[in-house]
Amino acid sequence: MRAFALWFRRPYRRARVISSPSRQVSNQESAVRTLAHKVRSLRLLASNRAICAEPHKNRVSCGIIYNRHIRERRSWVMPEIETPPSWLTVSDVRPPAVRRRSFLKFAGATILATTAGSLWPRLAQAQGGGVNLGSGDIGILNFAYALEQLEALFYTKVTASFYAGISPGEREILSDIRDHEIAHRRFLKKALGRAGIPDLQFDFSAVNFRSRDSVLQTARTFEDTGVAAYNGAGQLLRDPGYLLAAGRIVSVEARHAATLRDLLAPRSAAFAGDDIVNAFGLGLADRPSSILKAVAPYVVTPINADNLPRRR
Amino acid sequence: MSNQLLETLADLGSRSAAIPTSRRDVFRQIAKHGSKIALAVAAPLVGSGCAVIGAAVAPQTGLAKRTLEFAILLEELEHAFYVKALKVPGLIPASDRVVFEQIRKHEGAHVFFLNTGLTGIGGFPQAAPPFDFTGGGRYPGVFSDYRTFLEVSQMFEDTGVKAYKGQAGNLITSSKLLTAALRIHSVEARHAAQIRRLRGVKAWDGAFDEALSKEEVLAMVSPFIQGRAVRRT
Repeated sequence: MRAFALWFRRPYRRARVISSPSRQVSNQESAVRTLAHKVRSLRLLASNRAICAEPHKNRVSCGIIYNRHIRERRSWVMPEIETPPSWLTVSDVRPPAVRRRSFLKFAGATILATTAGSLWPRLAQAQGGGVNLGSGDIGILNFAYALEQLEALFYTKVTASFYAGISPGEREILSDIRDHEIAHRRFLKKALGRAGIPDLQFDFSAVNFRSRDSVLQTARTFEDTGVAAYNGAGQLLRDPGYLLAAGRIVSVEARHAATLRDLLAPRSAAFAGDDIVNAFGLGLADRPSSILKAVAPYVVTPINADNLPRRR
Repeated sequence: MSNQLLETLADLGSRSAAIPTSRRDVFRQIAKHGSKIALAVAAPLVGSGCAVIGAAVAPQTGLAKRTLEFAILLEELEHAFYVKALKVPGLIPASDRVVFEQIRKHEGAHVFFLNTGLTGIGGFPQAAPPFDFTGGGRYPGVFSDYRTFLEVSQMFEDTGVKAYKGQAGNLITSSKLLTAALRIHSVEARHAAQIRRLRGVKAWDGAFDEALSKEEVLAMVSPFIQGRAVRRT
């Protein structure tokens, strides 16, 4: 225990010597001091492993404590240390303000729906009735099926009358994507069998199918949303077979998303931009409830996702 | 920010103190700690200063550890590949550099994230093995000819996507680890699509991507790895 204490103090001391004196540093130092106290008082020394951040070396290191000595010390590089602000958003790429705002919007909408529910039949139906996705793995597959229905119909409309001045390359890409989405829809329909939801009604009146920007931007939104949906829903599946099937679909959706992003911003970092990949290199993942809210403007049929698993 | 860090660590500490009773509990704890440690480690690096976290997690997590170690090996291979390629003058055209800089950034972040997560579940990160990017002489022009470089990078990315898909089932018991793996998986797929576009080929092979087993992936990447492909587990 004493060895551990000695070891973890060492880089701290070094950091104090090296870092330039400023107000921010002293705040950090006091935080570390309190932290060291907390760690000790919490008896985290049950394990013989220790991990240590060494910002002055852009490294994180860890070691195994044997007989009061640190052995087998390893360290690995902290990427992109020269751009500190990006590390402030460690949990998600979305800034907290946006999330809070969308939460408020969601909370407001819920209150509105509860109060207006009796007056507005469609909202009331959406709350209690509507197409029920079901529960468990079936519910998650139905959720995916709903999204694939949305995408398949969207690309069917896109390819039925392409926007003016479309290049042969873009024509091929959009036709391919349509075929993939139809294949995904068919696959999920077959997998679900009688448990599958019926065909949903969609409303694409907000999309200008004659405009390249409108079509590609909507497509990009659908694909990014689809990827985030599968990423977020994977953990809710219990059957490894379904998980693998979802994995086989989601990487193709990610390929679509990257391609559409590249069409909108050619040869840039947009294909896996910082707006959808966070500082840890993790793509977006969202809960089914947020995804359904995001696509709600395009879905006419009320969907009831109340029975979906929320957490395993 | 420091408050947030302290809360995270206090939370981490209080949970670590609980002794896991079953295998499922262990995984549940791992899931929590993996990401929390990553978060707690990353946070102090923003400013200067240093934090130490003892990771108290029971050691019965062989499968998750082996899976993470395997993922780290692939990410290290990719990261080292792009780091080296971006240093070779004249290999990557100026117009495409931004793409590979973004990919290198993500691969480096994956190495960091997975190593931190591995430490978080009680594993121990190993030093990266030396790599031979010519694949044992199969691609001699990998760092002199841009087409060859693109071919090899597409192979790495597509293999990475298939590897994550094949390993996802091993993490099904831990929702946090699984989600992290899926999120990395989708980023790898984006990389693969973009590199394919740079090569002038279709970004996909069809409506469904294939999965590969660990053995199949190792068979594909072992020519690029000198020494032991699978590290101590």
